[in-house]
Amino acid sequence: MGKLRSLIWKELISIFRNPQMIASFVFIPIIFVAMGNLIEFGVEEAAKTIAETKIQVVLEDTHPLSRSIVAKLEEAGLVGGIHSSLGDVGDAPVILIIPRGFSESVLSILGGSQGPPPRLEIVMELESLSIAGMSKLEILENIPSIFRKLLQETILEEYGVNPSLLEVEPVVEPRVIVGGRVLAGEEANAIVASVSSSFFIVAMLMAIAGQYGALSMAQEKEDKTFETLLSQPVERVFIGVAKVVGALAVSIVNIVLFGASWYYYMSKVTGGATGGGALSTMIDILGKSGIVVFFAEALVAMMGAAMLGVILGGFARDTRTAGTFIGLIWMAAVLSGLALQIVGVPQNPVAVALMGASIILGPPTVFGSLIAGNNTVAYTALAATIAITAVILYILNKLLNSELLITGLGLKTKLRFRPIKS
Amino acid sequence: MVLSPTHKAVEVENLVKIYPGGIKGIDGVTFSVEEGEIYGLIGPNGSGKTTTLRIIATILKPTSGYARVFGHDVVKEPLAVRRYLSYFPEEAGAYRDLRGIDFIKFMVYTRLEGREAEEAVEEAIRISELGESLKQPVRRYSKGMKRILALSVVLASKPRLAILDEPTSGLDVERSIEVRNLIKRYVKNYGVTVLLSSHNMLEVETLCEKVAIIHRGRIVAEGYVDELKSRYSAVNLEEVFLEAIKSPIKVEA
Repeated sequence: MGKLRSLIWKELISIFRNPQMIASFVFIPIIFVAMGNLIEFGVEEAAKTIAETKIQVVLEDTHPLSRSIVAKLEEAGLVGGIHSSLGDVGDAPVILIIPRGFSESVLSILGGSQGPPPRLEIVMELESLSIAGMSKLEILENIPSIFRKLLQETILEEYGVNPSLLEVEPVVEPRVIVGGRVLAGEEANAIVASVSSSFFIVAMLMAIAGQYGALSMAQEKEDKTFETLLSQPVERVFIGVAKVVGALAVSIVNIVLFGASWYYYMSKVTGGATGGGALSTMIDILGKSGIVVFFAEALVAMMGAAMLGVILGGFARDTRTAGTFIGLIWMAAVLSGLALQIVGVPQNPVAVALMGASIILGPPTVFGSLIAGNNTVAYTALAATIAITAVILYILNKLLNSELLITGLGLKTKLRFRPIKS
Repeated sequence: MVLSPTHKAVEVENLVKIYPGGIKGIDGVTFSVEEGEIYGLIGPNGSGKTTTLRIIATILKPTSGYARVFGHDVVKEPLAVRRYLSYFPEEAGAYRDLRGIDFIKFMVYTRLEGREAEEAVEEAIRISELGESLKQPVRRYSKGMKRILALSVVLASKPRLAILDEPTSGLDVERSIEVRNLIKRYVKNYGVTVLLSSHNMLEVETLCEKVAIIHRGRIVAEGYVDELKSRYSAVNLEEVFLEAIKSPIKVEA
């Protein structure tokens, strides 16, 4: 037992006297607390937005029956405004269109004729392609059922007929506007699911770039090649650039593998063809310029992530300590992707700039914004990512030309361990 | 590389290095190395040999004092300094996933180009004597093989200044003798200046013309080997070292 205790003691002392390891312990709760608060805030905001969403009604049908139903909707506090045509509405999150002839259709069915069923249209604009945003799509289901109930009440009150005995079932045509494109409800669902999944995947790609950057530096130290390399007659920044290129190569291979796997995954989770449909719709929505902007963002962010990895790896004494940094990078990426999946892309310019500057959240922010048609948001995030990557390159160059890579920061731990008595 | 003949290969003046955390690595080291010389820094472990060599090789920066290589300041002109020197660290290794031959090519081509590089690669292959093992990944090499691989590149690139930190550490006796002879041959044939460190006094005595004994971060004795022996009435450098650390004042003027 004494020998085992001695071995365990050695392991513990190696961990808890390693300043880099202790630094990683400090970061774990910080990451979780920050992300937890962000998600909580996002979910609360989304719930508030949904609760406060008012329907803009376009009352093309001027029949008293339709007017009565809309009045009931108003009494229930669900209506934000009543308009006579769609052109008068302007920007609105949800629009209910009661087309001309709606009441006549209802009344003719009540009269026993076999005419076409009454028809309603719902138009919804999705700005945030997140899980919170997806919950907005529930409105598409809620409005028709509320409307149906109010229709039945009104018919009973005003015509004394119980419509549940008759087949008066309005047909609802939901349309969702994403990035200026009008999509059917099911198609919109597939797009939102695809985009929110992509947040997660793209964030992880940043982690891969960072991981390779950190490992390549740590491996130089472990292979005892670092000093030889640093004494070569090359600009030190070239060493960093070469490592970034290596990290990009690894990331690009991963993008291809992830892309193919993701395509397969989405075709499964969205029910067969919609996976491919969602992908082609997304490519269609992005357009050539959108694709260029997204890839530029992804490339710059991957470079930034790789450089951050190289910097962190430069402070790691070996691959083991680099592993603790990598764990943090991955944790940050996974939690960030998750947060963005739930909260969605913010619209506030400061928040968007921070997302871009965070590197990990830059590409998902740009992607989500481009899909939602918020090009200004996408360009703001891209500019922020470029700016922060330039700063990171400057820091990397300074670090490679300093001696900190060899000496470290000289951090000391004050933890004391009582030696084991043999 | 055309140089002014007035410059010494290495000039070190009052070099002090204090590491983060306040640990003093060296404390006022001064010495100089003439071109074409084999100069040895000797001292026990932790005496400051590696710190001194790392500063000259532009790996570390001095806290105060200066070091010049062929007239170029190691802090102000590090790239110019690195063009003149080739550094063999105490724990020199090689990339585990590269084959030996790839490592040689990589290291040579970061220093030389064209015909010169091709010749250096051929020479490194010859010096290393690793034969077919050069086609194997480095992860299959023994420690000694890795060191000889790294050393072959340093010598084959024929730098103006070769800084060798414990060049024979980790090598068996036979290989150590070969390496010493190799170093001597390169100095003689190509005019390479060698600054080496070792705690093996016998090695330094057989290899170096001039030595400096470093102890607790300070040079306690410096001069030609025979001169030091007569100065301290010693039969070998080990005795010189033991005497010098007792009365650390006999530095050559």
